[in-house]
Amino acid sequence: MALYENRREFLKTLGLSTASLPFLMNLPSLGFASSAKRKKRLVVVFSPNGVVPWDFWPDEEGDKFTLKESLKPLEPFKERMLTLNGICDKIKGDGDGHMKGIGCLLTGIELLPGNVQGGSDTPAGWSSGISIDQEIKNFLQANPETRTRFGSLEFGVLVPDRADTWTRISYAGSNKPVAPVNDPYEMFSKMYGKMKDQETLKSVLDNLRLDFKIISKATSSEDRQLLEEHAQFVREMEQELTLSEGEELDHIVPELEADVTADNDNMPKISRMQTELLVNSFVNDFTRIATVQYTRSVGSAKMRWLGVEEGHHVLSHRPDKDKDSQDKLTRINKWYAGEVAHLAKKLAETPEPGGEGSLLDNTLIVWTNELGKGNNHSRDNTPFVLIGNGLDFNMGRSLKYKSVTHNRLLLSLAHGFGHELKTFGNPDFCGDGPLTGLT
Amino acid sequence: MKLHSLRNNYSKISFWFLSLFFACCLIFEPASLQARDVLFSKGKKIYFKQCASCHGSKGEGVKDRYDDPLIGDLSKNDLAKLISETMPEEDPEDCIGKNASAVAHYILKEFYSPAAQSRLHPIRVEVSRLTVRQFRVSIADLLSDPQGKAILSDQRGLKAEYFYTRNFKQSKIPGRVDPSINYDYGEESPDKNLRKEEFSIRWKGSLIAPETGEYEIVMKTPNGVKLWLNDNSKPLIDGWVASGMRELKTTIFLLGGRSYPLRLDYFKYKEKLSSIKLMWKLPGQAKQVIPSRYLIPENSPETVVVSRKFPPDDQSEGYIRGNSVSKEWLQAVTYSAVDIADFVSQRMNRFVKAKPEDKDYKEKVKSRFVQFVERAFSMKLNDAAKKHFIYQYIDQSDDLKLAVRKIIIHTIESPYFLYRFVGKKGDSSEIASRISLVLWDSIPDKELLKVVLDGSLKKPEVLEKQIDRMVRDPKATAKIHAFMLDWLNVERFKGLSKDKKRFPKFNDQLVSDLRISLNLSISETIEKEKADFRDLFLSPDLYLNDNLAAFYQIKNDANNDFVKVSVNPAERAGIISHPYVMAGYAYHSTSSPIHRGVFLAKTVFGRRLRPPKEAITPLAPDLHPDLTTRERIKFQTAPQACVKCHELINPLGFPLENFDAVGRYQVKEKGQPIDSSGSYESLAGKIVYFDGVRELAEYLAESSEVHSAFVEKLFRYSVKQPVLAFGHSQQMKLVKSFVTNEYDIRDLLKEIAKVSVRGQKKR
Repeated sequence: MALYENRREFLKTLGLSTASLPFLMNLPSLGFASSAKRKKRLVVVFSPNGVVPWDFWPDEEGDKFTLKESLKPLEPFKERMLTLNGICDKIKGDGDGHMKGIGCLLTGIELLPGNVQGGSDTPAGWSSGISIDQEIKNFLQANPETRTRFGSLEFGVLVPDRADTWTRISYAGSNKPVAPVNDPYEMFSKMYGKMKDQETLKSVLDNLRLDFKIISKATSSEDRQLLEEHAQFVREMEQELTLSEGEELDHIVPELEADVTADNDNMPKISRMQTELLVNSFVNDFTRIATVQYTRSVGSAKMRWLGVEEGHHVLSHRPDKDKDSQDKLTRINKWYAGEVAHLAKKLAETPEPGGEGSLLDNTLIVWTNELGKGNNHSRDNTPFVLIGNGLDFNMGRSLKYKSVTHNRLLLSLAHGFGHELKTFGNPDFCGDGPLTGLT
Repeated sequence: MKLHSLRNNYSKISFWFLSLFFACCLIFEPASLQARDVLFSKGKKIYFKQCASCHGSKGEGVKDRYDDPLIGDLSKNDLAKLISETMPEEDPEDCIGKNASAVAHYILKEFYSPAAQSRLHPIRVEVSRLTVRQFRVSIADLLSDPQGKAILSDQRGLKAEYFYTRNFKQSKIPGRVDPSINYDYGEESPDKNLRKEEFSIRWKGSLIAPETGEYEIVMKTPNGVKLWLNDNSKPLIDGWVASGMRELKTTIFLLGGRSYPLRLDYFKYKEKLSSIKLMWKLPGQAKQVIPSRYLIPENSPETVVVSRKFPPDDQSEGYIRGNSVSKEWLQAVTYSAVDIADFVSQRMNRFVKAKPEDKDYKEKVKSRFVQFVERAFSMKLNDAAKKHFIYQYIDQSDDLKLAVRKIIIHTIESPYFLYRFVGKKGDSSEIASRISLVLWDSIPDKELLKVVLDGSLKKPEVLEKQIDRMVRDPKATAKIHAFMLDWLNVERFKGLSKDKKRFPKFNDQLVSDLRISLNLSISETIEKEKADFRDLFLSPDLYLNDNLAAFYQIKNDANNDFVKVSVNPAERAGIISHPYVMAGYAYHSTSSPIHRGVFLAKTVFGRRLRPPKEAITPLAPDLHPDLTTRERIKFQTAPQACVKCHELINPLGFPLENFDAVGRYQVKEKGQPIDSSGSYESLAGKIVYFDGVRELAEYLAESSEVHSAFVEKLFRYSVKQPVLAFGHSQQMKLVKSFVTNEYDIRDLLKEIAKVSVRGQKKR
């Protein structure tokens, strides 16, 4: 088996390169050189299987509104949030409701015909277009002032380890799904692995030097030369590691609980670990775009910690009149709202490094779902809850649109970053351009 | 005569020659005998009077007069002839006949011959680090599951199961083995028991990697596929979701001569068409469907492969060795060590065979890593060493994974792992580490380590038994195979292409097929019960698929797999006339007797030629359209400055003139019958004549010079030290046993391993 492929990229600069401060050079965030302009950020949070509309959408419209049960945990952020009712994913074509739901959610374009069969309908493949998070990432990465080390980070929470239409929300292009990183330790290693490796390496070098001493004594003077040359390189490596050490202090490295396995019951823990890493990636300006994907479309998390024993997807198919099931679904969505609220809280508590206000002042969270309602697979009234002031939308309101296409919201997100696209996804659904009434 | 022209003239005698074989007897004459040697004294007198002012008192050269040292491989007679004709430069008439002979006799004994040189500059066994290949192989063996041993059976192809549904339910065609994966079912179903619109297939078995390097694996299909290769837990290629025809590709680094577990899941569901092709692109070659030859239906264990790029090892002495270190090399080692640390720490439980919940978990981790380090260093650790390499890390930290990472990085970076020929000779750990390196390019396996730890390896019969066992292991075969490719110097054939106008069908695909064909011929020879060296020259067999058979116009059983075909023995003799080798040693549009002659002289006969002092552009064939290649070469190498080398080179290349630029056998060139006569003057001064490839090959197979050169080359390749460092008589003894054992290459390697555990020669 190959040795851990994705380490290559960041290990290239383990600190042994000829440049004396490779660490510095690879992390554009360090000097905050690019912070002249205000940083804007976007987090898309996905949770699956629709919501219970009457427990989700505020009744009122405008800036006076009451949060329903599902959204109660977001109460502290009411002034900084928008609920967008009436936004509909109108994309048609191949694939079942769930597939179209997740595959067209951020891409706004049809799925390719393919070989993946859902419950009914026709089989389909991957989405046929780029997703909005990747589109904005490309836009930001194209500009040296907004370029970051990763451009975007895709977090997963218990996304099953397989690649199909139901497990991907993000696309780098047509037929090019982007896989989320499901394992917080892997994400940690992606973000800070090099640094940790340097520490580890440094701690063995002393002992290694002793090996050279002992072995040199046992060899003839002619042979000693090669070993001494080698030992000299080891010393140089140590010096370079020491040199780069000072730079690491600028990084706030999160502490993660050890050995949390990817089990259903660890979902709350993993969610928090990923959130911790996400916030950190913003602090260190590793990225300005992130997605957080909870399970997958048709996901079947069993939220035993809420006293819900059934899988989420099974529950989402129960009829409206099944009060018990609807209550459970409301609790499930309330739990997701709680996780979003926790993310918002963390961002609000963290000052913007080198800038003004908090991270939340410069970040927009978009919490969404592939379905409006689970039991009819409707993609009308697809949930979109926005929190934070990153894109300067006029927050603190409950908005109700009359069945507008979700492509227009995607356009609004791009425009929020100054990326003034005329259309995004399928142009037929981009009607009158970005949504009106957001700003 | 002007100084510089004379120097050019003189340089032609400077054949460097390492194979000293015949000269050995001369240098061991006791001093008293030498003193009585009248000729020697006479030569010495003349040398100091007439030669030393330009050549130095020990032939080392004099700056601004003649700075090249007088070292070479000319026989005494040739040397005398040359001195007679050209020296001293002021007046060549001044030293002729018997005087010249005396000088020749003197300088040959005193410093000119390689034997004399080795006395003046003693060669010793040097501490050396693992070469890149040795590092990769050692890591693979250190970390891979020792339990699972690959079984290489004779059966080829992959086990196939065909299912009625798209999700591998209802198996319909049991017990099938498919030769290779290259199917196009169109709109139909693969079998009458399956439907058109929905079915699935699972192929399982192993892939054999013929060579070490980065492989590109390519799948072409409009349907859903997942491929696992050398990793049973994570697919190498995941193309489960499909929308139309596409090529899915990725690269993987594989070590040659090993088999890797492979599984391919494939399904069709409602797409119009169904087809699947599993292809590879070997290092530097064209993409092709993986031939049946390299697929076996049996499972294999996973192998841990270090895929980091390393700077190339030193090859300045004509063989790869670990005699230098660099920052880049240390970096590559360090990255690899970190990779390995990741790999193991992610599989802690499997590696330690225990769980964190176990009450004695820490102790289990400790003892597992003692085992690990002992294996890596092939030695028993005492308590201090256990503390130094293992316990201190585990006892210092609560984070066991971190401790383990440190242990691994320390172990891999330690000179105890990276260096060989460091320990005391005769020490069983040193013996084990040497023989496993020589036979396998690796660290000792469990069995060998066992006799190290219990001390019994010191007994000659135990050592003998171990070497016997080890030389039969596929790892030894893999090493011999790698040596053969090195011996043929096929590295230089990379990107082989020919005149598109003359040979439009000689394309990349054909070149890749040729490479496979050569690899199969090598395997054929070295995997036999007796790996007879003479087969390399004498076998009339070629491995051909239909592509090659058509191009070379050789009849075979029409088949797209490679089959062994016996061709007319007069037209083909062993791998030295393999079409890949012949095409490799040829020009763009014509044959090249010079390239072929140099290969035979340098590699096969072991004579070392100096490159021409000035770079010479070969004559373009169209400048002399009426000359045959043979005539053209004769014409170009006629000048005095060329003759001394080319009278050796050309007549060795001419017998291969029947093979054109693409290695096809031709009887005519430009309408004239090809003259394939040639000759060779042996070191003993005997001239042999041959006509055509068969006669040449028969001479090569029987020539003691060729045997000696082969022994020396295999020795250097496998031990990474010159044979002279192990004593003056070793090479001769090895050649003798090679002959006695009827030229069995595997036996030779065995004998080499035995020599390698001896210490330094006495100074």
